[in-house]
Amino acid sequence: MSVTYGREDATVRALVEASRRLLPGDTIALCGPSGSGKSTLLHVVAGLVPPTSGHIRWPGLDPSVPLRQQIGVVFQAPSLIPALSVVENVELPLLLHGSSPPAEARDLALAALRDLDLDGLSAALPEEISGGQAQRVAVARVLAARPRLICADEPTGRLDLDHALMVTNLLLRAASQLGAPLLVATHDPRIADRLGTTWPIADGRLAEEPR
Amino acid sequence: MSSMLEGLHHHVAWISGTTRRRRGRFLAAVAGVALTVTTLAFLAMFISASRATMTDRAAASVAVDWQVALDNPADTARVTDTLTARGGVTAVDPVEFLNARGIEATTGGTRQVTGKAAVLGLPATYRRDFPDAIRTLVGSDTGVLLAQQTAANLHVEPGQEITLLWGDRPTTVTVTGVVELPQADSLFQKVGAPPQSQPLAPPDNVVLMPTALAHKLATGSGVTPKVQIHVALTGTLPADPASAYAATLADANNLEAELAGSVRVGNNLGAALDAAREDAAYSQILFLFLGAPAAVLAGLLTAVVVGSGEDRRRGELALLRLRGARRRTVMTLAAAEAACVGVVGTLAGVGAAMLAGRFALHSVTFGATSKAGIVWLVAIGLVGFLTAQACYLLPTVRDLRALTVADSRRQFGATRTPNRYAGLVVAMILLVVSGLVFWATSRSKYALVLAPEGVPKLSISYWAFAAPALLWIGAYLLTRDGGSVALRYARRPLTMVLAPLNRRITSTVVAGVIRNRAVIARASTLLALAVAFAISAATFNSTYAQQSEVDAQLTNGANVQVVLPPSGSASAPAAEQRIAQQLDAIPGVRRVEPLQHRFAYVGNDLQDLYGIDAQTLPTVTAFQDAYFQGGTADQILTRLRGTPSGVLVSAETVTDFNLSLGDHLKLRLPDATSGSLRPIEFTYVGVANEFPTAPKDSFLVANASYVADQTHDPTAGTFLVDTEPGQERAVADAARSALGTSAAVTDITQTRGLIGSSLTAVDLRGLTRVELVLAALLVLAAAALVTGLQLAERRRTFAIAQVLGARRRQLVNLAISEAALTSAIGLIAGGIVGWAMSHMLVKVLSGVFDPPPASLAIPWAYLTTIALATLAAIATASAVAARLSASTTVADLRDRD
Repeated sequence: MSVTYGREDATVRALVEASRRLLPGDTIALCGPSGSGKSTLLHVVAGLVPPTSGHIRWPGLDPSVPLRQQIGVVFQAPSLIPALSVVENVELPLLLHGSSPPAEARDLALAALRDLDLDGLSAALPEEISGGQAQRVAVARVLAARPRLICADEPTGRLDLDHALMVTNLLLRAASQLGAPLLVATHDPRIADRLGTTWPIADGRLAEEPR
Repeated sequence: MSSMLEGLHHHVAWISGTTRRRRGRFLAAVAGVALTVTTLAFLAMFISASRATMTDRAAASVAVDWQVALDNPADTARVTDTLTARGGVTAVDPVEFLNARGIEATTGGTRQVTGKAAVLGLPATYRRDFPDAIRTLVGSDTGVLLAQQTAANLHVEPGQEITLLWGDRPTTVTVTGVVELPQADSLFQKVGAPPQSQPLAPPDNVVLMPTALAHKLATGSGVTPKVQIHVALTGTLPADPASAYAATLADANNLEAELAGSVRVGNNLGAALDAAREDAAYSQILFLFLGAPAAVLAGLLTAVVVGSGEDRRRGELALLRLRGARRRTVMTLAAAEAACVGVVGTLAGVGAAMLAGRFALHSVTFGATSKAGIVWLVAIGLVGFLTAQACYLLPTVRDLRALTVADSRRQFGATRTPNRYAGLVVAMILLVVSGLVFWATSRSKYALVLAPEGVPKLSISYWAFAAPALLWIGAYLLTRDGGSVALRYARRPLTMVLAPLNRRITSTVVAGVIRNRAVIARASTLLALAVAFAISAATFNSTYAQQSEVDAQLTNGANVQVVLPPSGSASAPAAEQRIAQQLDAIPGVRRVEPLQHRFAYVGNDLQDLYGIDAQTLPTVTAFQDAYFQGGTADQILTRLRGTPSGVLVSAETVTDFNLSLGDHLKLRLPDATSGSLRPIEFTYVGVANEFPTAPKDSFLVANASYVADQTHDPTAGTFLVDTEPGQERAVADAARSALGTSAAVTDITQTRGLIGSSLTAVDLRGLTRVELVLAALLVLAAAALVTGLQLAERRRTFAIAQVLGARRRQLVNLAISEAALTSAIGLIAGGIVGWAMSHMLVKVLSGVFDPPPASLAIPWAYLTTIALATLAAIATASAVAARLSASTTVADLRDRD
């Protein structure tokens, strides 16, 4: 599949004829320099951006459930809703999906926070916590929603190495707990090394062979 | 030099970049400044136009511009020559004033004798030179003319003889006409005397005759005349009443100096302009006060538009600082952006105001003089420029003070909820003070008062403006801070209200609303103020128009008034019957109602007496409760109808004669049988403050049937005619044509141009039209901008929710919930504030209404249209925002990466 941005003479080919298979239990690092197309590929996999040509299939997902409810996404920028507290942010996907009644959603959110040692922050607002804590909360939100596929777009881009490794470990733990494949876009080889496989990407083209 | 050029280049690049990248926000800020400027510029034009109107009206209201009193009648020729030679003088007529001991007449076998009388000798050119000084009611325009009241007292009509009792030889003359002297107060003023020495009323008995005849009769009787020279001036006066007053005063002083003290100038034109200049000063404050909230609101909207990019701007500032930009550089960048918005907005605003002025006022003059115009334009330009600067610089200064590097990484839309309790306390204090000032100012009853020269003049305290001003500020703070505090504790009601729309995520939506309460309350406040302005402006203007119409109808009695000349003949009732039938037959006439007009003595005081049918009179003329004391109009008229001998008197008469309800009162009225005054017993049943066609001072109202029985005279003398809407002038013309010179016919369209002071006579329609359009624009702008911008600020939140799996309907409901809540608070608060403001404005400015309104005139059609348009604007803005929200992409989450 390919993705092209822009129109007519100002087009940018962000992804060129990429073709890969992602299996349960896979932990993939999508690795490349800035502008290489790794985020684009990740967004296509996450169902956030449709391919311009070609197609993508999710045979492992339940076709009767909306795609967004089965794929958990963590972004580089803090993606918490500023007006909601930490626990409200974590329970939000459950409420939006309607998969759990409010009380149960709250319990699941608290459990996810507890799992990541964040239960002390449950009442805090996003602006009251650090960047590292915010990313951990984003991971907790994915964990609570129990997705079948986890995509993380530069989740450690704004963190120091210690915090970056901590968040990566948490993502791996979540993927392991849920049995979901994990796809992480990163330009940091130290993060990529923690994952099972690396898909190198440059100029929108995936390398022939994974590492 | 090169660093300067480099700096300039950076500034241009910055402005070019920000205007291109955020074109919508830039244009909205320009529109906000333009709206502020348009409001002020249009007000300047309206004030300028209304001042010129006041000058014209004051000049037009004066029948004789100057009455030059001569100390020595022998100087008449010299002074006349001097005046004729002066520039700006169009007519000079010497008038002789003679005094008689009384006038005697014998009619119908009875003899009537009056008290002192004034006899005026007029030159043949007088009626042509001073056409508004004398109005012929019946008979000839020339010869011996009797004032209407004199004719009534003597029961004399044209063709009959009267005897002037003067000097040592009474002289008999034949009456050729009966006239009205519309400006008798100024005609009989004591020229040069201070106001407290002026006569309380003009003489009851007046005879006018040609100068030659007066001279001959007076000389033969040994009576010495006093001479006044009446002067008409050219109408070329400065447009501003104050300048016109100063010019005419200087001219009059110059004449007195030129004639070395041998004359005293009764400056009627100066007196009228003096009143007009005071009204003009007041009107300037009044019109600014009525329009200023619109300008302030437009400024606030601009601030909201500029402030809506607060987080983004804060991030940019932090980055600029991080990359080495000095505070001064940051400030000059903000100032340059503001200057761009200010200049474009000001030019657009002045242009829009000129267009509005051309259409609404047919004038694009900014000041009464060119100097004033320049001052206004500079002031307006400064306001536009400073509004833009304040909107951009104040947040920049605030951000620079508090900015940290962490801000460059701060989340978008982070909730900052300031402490609102302090503002709430200030709001309560302001509202209480506003209430107290309102109570104090509305207790003193402002009213039109008559100056000695007979020129209506306003007496109003400027303090009256304090209460509404405090209410505006208090309402602003109360809605903003009270709304914020109320939302904080409104989790349960919010849940109840929002649950049907948001179902499972209600608690989350409510939590978001509560944390965003400051933003929601601020948006609601702007909407509330815009709605309140629309309501109060529309209601005030509508009530003003209503009262102008009431005033016109009060003065003219009904749509058309027909006054018959006094007649003592036995055939008069039959003649009146025929006239009534003639009037009734005119197309467009709905009803003809007779109104008796007599004169009655209360003790020694001669008052107008109106005999009415209290049941049918309200069908031809509108009665307001304010016309009476001690009950509604309906109650008082019912009481009068229920008491055949009942009489309504003025409050002054009640005080003077110490009357209590049910007291018997003996009035002396002319008896048709005996021809002399006859005491008739009446019963005091109530107080009338105003009555159709009645003078502003004392008068009496009684049952016509009782008056007719007791005086043996069933004639009415006046007919009030109700017409189909828009037919007033046509019916009046037809009546004139049918009745000839035997009746004086006036219609309400003529009266509208003659009533009230110069202020109440200002035609507010131009201001009203533009004010209502501005109010509508402000409400729509507030509704759409506030809702749209508020939701645009949530774009990132919607993007996150979408990534987390929110369905389109959930996103739309989320957007609608917040918009609906903002609108509901804004509309409800705006309705309450608008209602309170309307009442307060009408009450404290009751002086500009004559008579004061019994109730507010609420323009439901306009307000309903505004409400529907507001809801449509909010719905459209919400729909657009919701659509944008639903189409948010992952790019919205990467906006700052």
